[in-house]
Amino acid sequence: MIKKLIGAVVVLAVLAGIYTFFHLLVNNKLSIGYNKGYQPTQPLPFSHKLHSGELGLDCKYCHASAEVSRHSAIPSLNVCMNCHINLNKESKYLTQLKEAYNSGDSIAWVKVHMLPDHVKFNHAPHIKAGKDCQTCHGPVEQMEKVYQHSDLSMGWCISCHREQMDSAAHSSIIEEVKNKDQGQDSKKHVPSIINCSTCHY
Amino acid sequence: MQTDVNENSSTPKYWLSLEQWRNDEGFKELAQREFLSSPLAEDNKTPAGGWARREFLQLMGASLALSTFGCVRRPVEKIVPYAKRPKEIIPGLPNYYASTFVDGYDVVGTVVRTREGRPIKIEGNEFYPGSGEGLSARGQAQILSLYDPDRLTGPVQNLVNAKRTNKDTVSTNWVKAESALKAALGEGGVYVLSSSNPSPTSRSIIEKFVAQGKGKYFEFDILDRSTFINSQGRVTGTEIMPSFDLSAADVIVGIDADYLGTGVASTAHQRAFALRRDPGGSMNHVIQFESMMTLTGTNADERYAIKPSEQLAIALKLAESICIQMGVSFPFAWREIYGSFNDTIKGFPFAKKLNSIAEKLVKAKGKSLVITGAEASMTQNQSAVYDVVNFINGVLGNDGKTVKYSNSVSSVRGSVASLNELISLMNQELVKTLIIHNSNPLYTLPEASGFRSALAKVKTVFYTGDRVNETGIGSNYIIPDHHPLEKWMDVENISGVLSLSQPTIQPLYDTKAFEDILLQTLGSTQTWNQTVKASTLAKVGGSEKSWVQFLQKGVYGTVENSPKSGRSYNGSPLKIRLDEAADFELVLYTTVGIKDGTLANVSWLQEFPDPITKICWDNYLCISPKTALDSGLNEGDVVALTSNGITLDVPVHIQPGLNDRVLALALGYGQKAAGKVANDIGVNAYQFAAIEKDQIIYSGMNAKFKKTGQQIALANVQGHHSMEGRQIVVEATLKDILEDPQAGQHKHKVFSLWSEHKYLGHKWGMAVDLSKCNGCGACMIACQAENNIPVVGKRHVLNGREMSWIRIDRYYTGTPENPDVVYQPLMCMHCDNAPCETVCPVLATVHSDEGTNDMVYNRCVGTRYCANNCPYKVRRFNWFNYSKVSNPLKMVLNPEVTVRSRGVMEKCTFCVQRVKAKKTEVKLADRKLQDQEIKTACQQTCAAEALVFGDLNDPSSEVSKMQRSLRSYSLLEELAVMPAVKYMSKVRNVSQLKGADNHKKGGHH
Amino acid sequence: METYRKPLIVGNKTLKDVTDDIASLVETPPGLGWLTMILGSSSVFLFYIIVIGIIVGTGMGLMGVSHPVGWGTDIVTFVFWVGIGHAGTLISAVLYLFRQKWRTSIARSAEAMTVFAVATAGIFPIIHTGRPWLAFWLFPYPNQRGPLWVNFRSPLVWDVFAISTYATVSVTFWYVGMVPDLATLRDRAKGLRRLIYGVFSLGWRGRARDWGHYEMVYLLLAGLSTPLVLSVHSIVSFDFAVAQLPGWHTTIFPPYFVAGAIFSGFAMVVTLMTLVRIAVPEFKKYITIDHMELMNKVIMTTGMIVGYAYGSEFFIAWYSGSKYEVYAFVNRAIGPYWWAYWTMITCNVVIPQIFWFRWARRSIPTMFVVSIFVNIGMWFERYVITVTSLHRDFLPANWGMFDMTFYDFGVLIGSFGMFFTLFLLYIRAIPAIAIAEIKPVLGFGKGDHNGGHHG
Repeated sequence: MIKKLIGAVVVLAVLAGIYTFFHLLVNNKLSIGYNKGYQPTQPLPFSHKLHSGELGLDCKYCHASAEVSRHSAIPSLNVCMNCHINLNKESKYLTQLKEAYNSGDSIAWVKVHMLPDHVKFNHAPHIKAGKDCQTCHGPVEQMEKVYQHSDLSMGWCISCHREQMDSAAHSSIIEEVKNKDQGQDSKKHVPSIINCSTCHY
Repeated sequence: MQTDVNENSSTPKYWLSLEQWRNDEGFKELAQREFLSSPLAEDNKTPAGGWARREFLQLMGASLALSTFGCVRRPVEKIVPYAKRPKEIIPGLPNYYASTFVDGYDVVGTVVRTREGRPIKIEGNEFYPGSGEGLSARGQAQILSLYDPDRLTGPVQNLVNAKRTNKDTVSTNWVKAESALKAALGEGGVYVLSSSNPSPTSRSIIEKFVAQGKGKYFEFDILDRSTFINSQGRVTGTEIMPSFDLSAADVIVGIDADYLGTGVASTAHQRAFALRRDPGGSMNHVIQFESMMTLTGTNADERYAIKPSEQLAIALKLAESICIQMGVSFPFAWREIYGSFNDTIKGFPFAKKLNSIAEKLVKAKGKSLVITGAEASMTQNQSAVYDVVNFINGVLGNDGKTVKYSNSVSSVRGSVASLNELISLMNQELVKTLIIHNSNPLYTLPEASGFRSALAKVKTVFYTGDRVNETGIGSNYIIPDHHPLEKWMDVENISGVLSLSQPTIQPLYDTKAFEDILLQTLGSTQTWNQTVKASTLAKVGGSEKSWVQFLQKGVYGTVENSPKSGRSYNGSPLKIRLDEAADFELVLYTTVGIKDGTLANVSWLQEFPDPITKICWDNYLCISPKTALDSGLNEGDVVALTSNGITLDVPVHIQPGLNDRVLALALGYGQKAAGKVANDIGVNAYQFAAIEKDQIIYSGMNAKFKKTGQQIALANVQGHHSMEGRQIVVEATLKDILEDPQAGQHKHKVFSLWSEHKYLGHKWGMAVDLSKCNGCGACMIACQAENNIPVVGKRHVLNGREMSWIRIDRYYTGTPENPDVVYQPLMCMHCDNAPCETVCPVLATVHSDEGTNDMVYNRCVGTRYCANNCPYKVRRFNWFNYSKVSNPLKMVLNPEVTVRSRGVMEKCTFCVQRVKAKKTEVKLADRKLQDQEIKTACQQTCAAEALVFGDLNDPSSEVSKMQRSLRSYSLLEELAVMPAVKYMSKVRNVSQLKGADNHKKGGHH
Repeated sequence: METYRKPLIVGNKTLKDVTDDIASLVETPPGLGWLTMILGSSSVFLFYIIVIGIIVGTGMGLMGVSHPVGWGTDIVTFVFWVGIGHAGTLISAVLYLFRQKWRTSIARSAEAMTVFAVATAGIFPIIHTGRPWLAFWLFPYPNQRGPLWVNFRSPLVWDVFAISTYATVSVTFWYVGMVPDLATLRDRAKGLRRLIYGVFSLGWRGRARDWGHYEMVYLLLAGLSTPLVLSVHSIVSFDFAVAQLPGWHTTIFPPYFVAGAIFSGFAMVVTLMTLVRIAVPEFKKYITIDHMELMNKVIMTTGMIVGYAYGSEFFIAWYSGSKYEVYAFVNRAIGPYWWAYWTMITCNVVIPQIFWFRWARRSIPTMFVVSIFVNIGMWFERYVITVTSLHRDFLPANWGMFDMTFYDFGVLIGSFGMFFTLFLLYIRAIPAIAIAEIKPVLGFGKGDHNGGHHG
């Protein structure tokens, strides 16, 4: 009898365990098999902590194209040189940088945030929508060495897009559109942000 | 299997699926355990009794954990930023450069799209007069020739033997080559042979060079038009190639003309022609007499299958009755010849029609046009035919109105006379050095021309081609010129209209602009680039500002549109030679895709199905159904074709609407040294051509054929050629349409069991005007370039595995003897009730809230159920890893479109990447999206503007207007799939449709 | 009345004889016949595996499928094998519920046939996909993609459930049924064999309690399997019926497919049983001519049902007035694939009519030949449905043809290798006739009161 009881308890426990496991997984509380936390060593120990955190440079000073293009783009060396041409602080890394700049053969940085090629992510509209870089990239200004903050799984993208769909802003747009003859007079269009073709094409 | 996953287009797919691999293993393992475990196990003491339930569950948890945690990181990727980024390049954004595409006489202004400094797509330049945004299939395909793997990577020296036939080459360097050229220049007797050179600056430099070298500069085109220009001279006194204004012509009569397909300025003509095919406006009436079925003929209202030897008779007959009706005297010099044609004319099945056609022309005098000049018209009597035709236009007062001499096509410069002169000079051994530029005479010129033997007498031959082709083999030095997309060039196509071709990429290889070499050899201080700028700057206004504007716009100058008074004309005596009628007359024609064979090594064009026959990867002898029947030939039977004493083995294609006495064979095939793609595809029809006096003869040669018993499977992309009486292409006569816009349509009462989709924002849709579409197929190549569509090769096309997202279905209606032809562009219909969406088990194809049917490649497992369930069969499957392309070819890939791997389905996406790009642009600029701002690749390139894409939720948009028109119908409407693409019925300006009774008649196939 | 009823088991077997006869097959070393057969079939099986390997490694393009014929040999053969399975379930479950005593001799093997047929069938949907290594995406499982589930509207997903359920239930039913026999073998065996059979006999002791549980479970499983006989092939038929393709889009498909399935299934049982009778002469006593005759009657009946379906398809096509439907069926009969169609008609409708004659029903060679023809015919039925409908649909421009390549024949033939290998191994490893079930009906038809009353 008691044996049966224990059996039952164990079974229930395990079932509950599996349920929570899947629940967390599906609601992307739990990330498995993605690159979250990936923190490669870069050819030059460029410190975001210093530049962005302490010196307080705006992200978009270096990653300018994020506002207009799909790529936030690692800055070309001439951007670095804008300042470092004058900063003659002795450092072997700076000399490496300058050599790379002068020789013109640049520096091969290690890619941290890697999306599959079949995912077409576009920075510009996200910036336009007023998202902070930190929302996805985490507290970069505190990172001595950059690591991947979010797991960049599809579930992770979708969850945020779903929130947008439910957001007041979105529903207001829909209202506006409905009132104004399916949106033709309206400047706004219902942002179609939850289609497959939003990212895959 | 994993290695294959490795091959997948995207690295991430690799690790992604690898992870799921483990996952899968986990489940397999799990399933095993499940089998072993039994409900009774717990009571059973023997451990062998399988796993106790609790263990089993623990194990399950474990195996899952194992499976999921055990993943590998993706292989490390590197990012290399610019050291000094050029300011115009922003990673991820395209740049556009105005340029010009020179394709024989079809010169069009283009805009080249580049990404991160590499050109990926060519589009029409809206500012260019005539063609506008339209661009031909060949224009679209030119981009691939830039990345042709068979291009030379540097100058080459031939170790030529006496006959100049051996292929052994040694690579040399520019210093050697140029010193050789310098020496030659000192020696004198330096001649240059090139095809028509549309660049004034280039010409002046070459002229200067040959002057220095006491030689001469000859221009010659294998697709010669000089005889027509000469005829213009004889008849009107001015030796020019006039430009024809089809938009001003109410009646167009073509006698072996192909002004829409392969003729002079065909792209511009397509646009002008389409303007007059709108039943709403004043629709033109098009009549065509032709010996090979051409694109023009298939778009004509009345079409008559003739044989080449009948052209003159028809022309004279028309001239005569027009003269009578116009009260002009029929030239006395022609009477005798005309008389000799009496019986021929009486013998025509359409003899009675000729008078009424003449009437139509007269009725529309000043607004009519008689036109000729395709290869099929180049018989031994071509000059005579041209004289009569030019004369007729004169009589009808079309000169200066539909025949524009003020804006002549000045890029047509070559002449056979100059070739003959060169050959004779070579034979006299006066030519010490010959530079061959933009031309491949040893391939194109028939042996009979004696060019090869003459060339052997030349000491040194320089060839500027980009590969060791036939001419390359025959020359001492091959000094490769830049690809047009790597080179500065000023182009004057229409007199008074200047356009520019500017480099869009650093030269890929160690090549040099031909003109630069000349300048250096001449010891000039200026480079070619500077010279072009200097000489052009003067013409476009002199100031730096005007230069920049010119660069941006790509065009300078406009065409004269106001009608001019006609030139005087006279019927000078005709020089003709009449042979007794032959059993079969051979016609050598050019196809829309391959044309003269210059771009033959571009795989897109080889796999581009000919608009009329729908066959690709071959040329073939077209014979009429009756001829086939009489001589017991089937499609693909190989015959030994003999003409001009030459015999070649060619497969036959049974071509409806061909005169029973005509055999037709396409030029531009059968190249031996053009590259991996084009080599030994088809036979070299140029061999049958003859050069006689100062004209090339492509047509009307006496020919015969013998069955060989072999078979060659012809890769025809179309399975069946009749509509089987189904409502697919709706046809109607102009009269009926004006009475009832829905004429010819059979409407069904359709209702849907599904609840309608809600489209709050956009609802993308497309309208296709079948009256405007002329079937040229430019859209197919445009789509291929835009969407990274792979080429599969003949073997797979034979299996129906071509990948085209948009195809053009061609149907014959009426009798096989002389059928009507209809074209129907078919792309994904983006149905509201899409049959594909319901059946895909993994949700790889789903409906978007903008009405498009999204295809998610990376989710697709390839059950192919969607393709089976698609009534339009527009879905294409990657049977093998077709998309695997090597460098440099992969540089042409559009980074905005995923490259599909093996085993996934793909199809038209309405160019969703373009939609996205524009929407982002609009969003960033806080403005409203304008109608026609987004254009799909197919719409953009369509010179006829037959395809219109847009927002159906916007009632004022062009596409909504077209879809609201009563002429619109949806294909297979009765299936209630609610396609977002609608067709507008095909209207013919005739009294009676040939296809009218095709419900009773089946197809001929 | 019993006197008129024929005995189910001939040759006055005692209970011991039964056990010995049947168990001996498993206990004695295999004869030459079996060895040659297993050698043949397993080498074909090996060939099968290699062919599949090449296809998966290189691409679906190796097979004949193309545009517009997107489904070919894989799907045809899949449906064929699934169909085969049905007779097994019918015999072992439905006839059990109807208390058809004559089923007992063949039930075990028929059920085995079901399991192996479904296993063989199961391979095809996987290898016919473009990316088989991702085929598991057809199962709804929790994931980090949003989550992204499967498309429950798609018949292919229904298939996944139908087939997997069918496989699971059949296997369980079959296995539970053989537990007492396994125990018997265990008790007769020594050493390793004893251990193995011990494991699988789940500690069966033959106690009244065991029998009680057993009878109940077996009855329940029989009840559970019965609806599957109808459901599985109905759902398979939805793969076609739900599509809007002329020739596929037909409401008659579910019953038509089920009838066809039972038809082909019984044919396959007859084929196998004749073989078993040849291989093991002693079994003639248990699988008598009467059993065969009964099955032949079923074949003839279902054959005529199928024939009726063919006819009504044509009628409906004409009656529908849809020119696409009409064309699809005219094209079947006189189009380029007429030979396939008429092969089907001949094998499925004409040839089985010979069973109107008693001698034919009771002649082993005749029924063997007929059953082979029926199997061929039923494969062609699926070929006709799949290929001829696809190769000419709505728009004539994309009409095309389907030609089988080496690889098509490879998988087709290979699948038989797999099936027969499994079946031959089964014959040697498991009592091919349910000992425990035979014994009750031993006296049947001999005035013995064990049976007959319900019969």
